[in-house]
Amino acid sequence: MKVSLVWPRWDGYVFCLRLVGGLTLAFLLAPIVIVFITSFTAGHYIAFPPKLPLGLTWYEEFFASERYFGAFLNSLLVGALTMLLSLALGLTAALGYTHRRFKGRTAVYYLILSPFLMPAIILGISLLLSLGSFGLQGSYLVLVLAHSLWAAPLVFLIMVAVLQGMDPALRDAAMNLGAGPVRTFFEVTLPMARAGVISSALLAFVVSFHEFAMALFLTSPSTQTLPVVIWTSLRFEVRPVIAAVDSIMIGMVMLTLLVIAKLIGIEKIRIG
Amino acid sequence: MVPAETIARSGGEARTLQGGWIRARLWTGRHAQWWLLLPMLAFVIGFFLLPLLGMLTISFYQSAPGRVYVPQFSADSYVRFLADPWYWGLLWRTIWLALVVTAICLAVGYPLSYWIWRARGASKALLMGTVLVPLFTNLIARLYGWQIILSKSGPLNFALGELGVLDKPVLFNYNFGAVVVGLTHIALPYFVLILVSVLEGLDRSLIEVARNLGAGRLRSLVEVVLPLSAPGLATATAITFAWGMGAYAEPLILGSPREWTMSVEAERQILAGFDWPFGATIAFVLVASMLVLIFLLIKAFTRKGAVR
Repeated sequence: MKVSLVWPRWDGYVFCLRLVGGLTLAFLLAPIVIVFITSFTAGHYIAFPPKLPLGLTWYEEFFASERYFGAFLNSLLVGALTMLLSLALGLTAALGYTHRRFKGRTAVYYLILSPFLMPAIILGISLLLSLGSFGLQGSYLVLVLAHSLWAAPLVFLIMVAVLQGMDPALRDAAMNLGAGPVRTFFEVTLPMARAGVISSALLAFVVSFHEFAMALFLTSPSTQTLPVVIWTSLRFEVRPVIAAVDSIMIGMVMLTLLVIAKLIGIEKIRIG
Repeated sequence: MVPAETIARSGGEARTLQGGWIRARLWTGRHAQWWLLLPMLAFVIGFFLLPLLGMLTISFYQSAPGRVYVPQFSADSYVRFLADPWYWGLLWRTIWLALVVTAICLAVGYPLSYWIWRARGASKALLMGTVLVPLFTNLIARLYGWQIILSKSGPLNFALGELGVLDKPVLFNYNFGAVVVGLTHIALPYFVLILVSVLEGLDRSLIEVARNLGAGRLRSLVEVVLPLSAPGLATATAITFAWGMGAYAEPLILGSPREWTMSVEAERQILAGFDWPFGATIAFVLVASMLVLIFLLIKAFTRKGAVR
């Protein structure tokens, strides 16, 4: 048996790998845990460890505050509309892309993904500068379009992966048996791709719900989303109410993740 | 004339006979895929490419005090940018920040992704969940968390004080290191998720084959998995770098004015200074240099890695 001399049989690297991985995971969770703990501070002063007694003062303030709660509702609305638009655009495009091989397919793929690679701040600036003259600035519509620039390619990416994993023979069989393309889609393709559709829809919502840089450029005071309001608060005052708001958003995300995990398994979520 | 392709597909013919002619043509015709792709392509062109072109146009307009711009051709903004060494320094600081963050993501993100890829069942779901929670958490919330952690009365100072490393609190905030920490925290989950998706596409049995042929675990990683994942690694790196160069909130919340980036300056010119042509110029220089650097990055990766 030939044993490599250059490559020692050293399995200790597995330990190193997990050490680096574990520390990285701790790094990823640290600020979220800290924000969550801070949100239960009762006083005005943020300190660590938090000064006792703890309380829900800042949660009460959030629900009582028109500014925060109104922004929260704005975020939900924009997120839901972004989800619908991205799903419609991404799903039809994914169907077209996986339909068959055709000329220019690769170019189409990169064209659709190109907005996703662009930093949010650039998208926000270019939309503000171009659409500003149409009087659209500050409307929900512009923000939904802007967020869909990120969310729709994401839906497309996930749905292409899902559709390519399906057996095209089933689709063709349905068509051969006389079902039209629309019926084939709703009765064969869609049920099989259900998990992918749900998870990509949730992802689209989450992308919009947390997006901040585009919203900074494209909202007016009445359409401001929650991240924008938190941002302005954070730059001019640091109060634990922000921690409470953040914790509520984090809670919603955990819930979404649990739903995805229950429906299709968490490891199905992917980008790229 | 019925195109040959329509006849060849019996499904389409069946529809034709039943009378749903237009629908059948849309699906089985030669251009079927284009009908389905049309809305998305129109959306990307209309709300991504055209606004970018619009931004480029405005960058060549004249700045005027009291107005956002005067629609008259002028290269003044570019002259102003290129002639001022401060803006060159700004561009370099922006690139440097993105490079440092990308390098850190590569160093710690690859081991983590590999671990997640090899994991199975519940531990895999747990690992993925831990990466997904920050990914789905509001960017501002995460930066706020870091602001608390790095502050004088924060947990880091508390821990180091209890351990006896520090005898009085140190401010870890508002410097380059803090910005790197914040930006890495934002970029890393995306990096890992992309990389895991790419690794999932690899054939696991390749590792088994390498191991059976006598390669150690480490060697199978370095000589089999790494080269095979190079194209995906290039994508993940390119996205991380692009977003790193677009960094806006991180330098503002965790940095001092010395760490402010091109994005911060562009935003200040547009929203605070109302100088749209100059703001657009900064944004366009940022996009152009980003595209050039990503092109070079991907070239470097594919030259070294591709053993496909």
